[in-house]
Amino acid sequence: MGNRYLRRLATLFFSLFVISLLSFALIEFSPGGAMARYVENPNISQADRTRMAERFGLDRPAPLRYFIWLRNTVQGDLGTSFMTGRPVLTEILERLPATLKLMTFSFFISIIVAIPIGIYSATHRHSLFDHLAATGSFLGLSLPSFWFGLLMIYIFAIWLNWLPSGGMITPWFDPSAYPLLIRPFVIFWEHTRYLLMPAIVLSLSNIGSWSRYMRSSMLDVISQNYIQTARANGVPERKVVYKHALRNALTPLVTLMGLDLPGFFAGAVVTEQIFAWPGMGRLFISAAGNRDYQVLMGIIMITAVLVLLGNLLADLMYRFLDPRVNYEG
Amino acid sequence: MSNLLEVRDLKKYYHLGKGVGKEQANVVRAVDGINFAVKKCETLGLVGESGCGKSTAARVILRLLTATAGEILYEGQNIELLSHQQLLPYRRKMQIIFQDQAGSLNPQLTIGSALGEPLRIHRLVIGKKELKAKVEHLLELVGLCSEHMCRYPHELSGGQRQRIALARALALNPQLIVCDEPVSALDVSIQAQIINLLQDLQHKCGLTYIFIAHDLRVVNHISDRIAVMYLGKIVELAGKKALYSGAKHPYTQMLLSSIPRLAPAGQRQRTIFSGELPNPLHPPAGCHFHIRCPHAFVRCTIEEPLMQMIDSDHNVACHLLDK
Repeated sequence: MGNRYLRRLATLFFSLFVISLLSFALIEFSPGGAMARYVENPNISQADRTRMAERFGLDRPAPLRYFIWLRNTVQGDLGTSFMTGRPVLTEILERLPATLKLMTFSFFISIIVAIPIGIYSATHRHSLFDHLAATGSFLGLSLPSFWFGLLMIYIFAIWLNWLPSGGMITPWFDPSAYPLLIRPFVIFWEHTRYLLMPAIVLSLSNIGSWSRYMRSSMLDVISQNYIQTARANGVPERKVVYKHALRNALTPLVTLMGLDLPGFFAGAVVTEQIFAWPGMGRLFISAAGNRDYQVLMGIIMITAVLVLLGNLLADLMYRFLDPRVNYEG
Repeated sequence: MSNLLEVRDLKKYYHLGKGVGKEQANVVRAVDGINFAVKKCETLGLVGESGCGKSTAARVILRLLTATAGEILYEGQNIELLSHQQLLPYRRKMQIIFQDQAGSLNPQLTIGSALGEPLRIHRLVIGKKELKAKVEHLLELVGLCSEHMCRYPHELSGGQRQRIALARALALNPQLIVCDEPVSALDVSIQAQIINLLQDLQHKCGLTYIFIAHDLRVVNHISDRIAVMYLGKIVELAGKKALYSGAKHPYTQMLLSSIPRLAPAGQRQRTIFSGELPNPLHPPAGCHFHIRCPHAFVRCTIEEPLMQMIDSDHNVACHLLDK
């Protein structure tokens, strides 16, 4: 048992190593380089640029820089930002909570919407609802989030004026201005109204794929003989669906959720940009624009760690959910 | 002896690809007007090739599928029209076990809770102690011991799982058990064990079986009467002895001659099976079997043969009888 987890852990570290090597190489091969953004600036001479490159250690050969970066990273130092001069880790940790807040909310929206749609579609196969859900999920999967996000802003923020078009919280929001009794609700709504649109946009494609997956997984289980036996025993249909079928149908979905985790981070990059959400995704875009490669590497690595841990968690959960999975082997 | 179950003109049609103008063409007649009766404490064997409608018939009889037409009389009561609530007492009396023993047990439930569920649903036990005692008794009945209670289905062997499936069918003290190819997925030595167990339980608990199989040796061993199905219809229905010694329908003769026997080469007479089961979407006109039948003549291609009684315990649907 312990051996098994050790092996998983070793794989995890090896994956991280390969990811870092590949991203470093990609960044290194991309045209321009860290000093490119100063080329057009008449106030910075060639000598200035050489001096800056030397100060950042950019004059050294790439393999050496990678090993220095790797040594520091292992020790928990992700370097300093070329742009701000602040430690990369500090920059990221400032932005991470916002991204996690958005992702968690969007994750729950996806689950709450996708699973019931999947169950209903499976138990009412070929009904009108099933066809509508199929169409809806293909729309959800294929609509580009930047377009859908802008459409939502146009409708709900500009036209109807129900929700704010972007940001995370009203800067001058003061909960003490409200009576104590309704204060928790006011605080909750203040957070939710900013979250709602970006979270929906982020969950859209997941709702599409998860509800389809849930439907087919549920259909698989419903055709099993133990469902027939339960019916033959006179178990009420509701109980057949929710007790016997649902639990068995949910387990494969857990794996899918783990595998879709990278999609949340990738989606967050676009969504955060549209809704001016002060998270890691926007930091990533601005870092890429500014050629702040240290920050870029840092974000990639943190994301990789979170995704790999998420997958590990999904695997462990699977073990608890399905007694057939045997991890001894 | 009176009839425990009687099936009258039972039909189950599937409509494929509902669409404009398609309603007529795409009908699969999985079960197409079958009639039979099962007496108390007897075993009726139901044989036929894969896809002839045996399992569909079983599921319709237990109302796991809704019949297209026909009557299912259980002790004289037509259960086809009963609501879920009204059906509940009959659920207690009729049970089913399947071929796929792995799929017939919920992988999430321990053996104990799987066996306990029907007891709880029908409120046959009060309290945890009685439940445990009853489950232990059931396990004992099928030759397992109480330590299997906290195991999961995947931890048991195929034969053990089939015993569990049987124990669960027995939990409600049923009168009728439909066995849908209960031993086909097991190896031969385990098959014999399960068959013997089924026979022991029949004597002990006074059970009636509808035993579905494609293996004639097994059916021969366990059945009192045998019905042979071909493409949704029963073509021959007879007592075991009558069927084995004097099968009248060419299809039954074919099935019987395909049983492997130990005999010196040259001494065996075999009717070789020709052709395959036709597409059930477009069954041949007249007698469904005529394209494979070595004795087919003109009438077989036009007119569908009706069931005729040739003996008190022997019914055949074949034009050869009139010839």
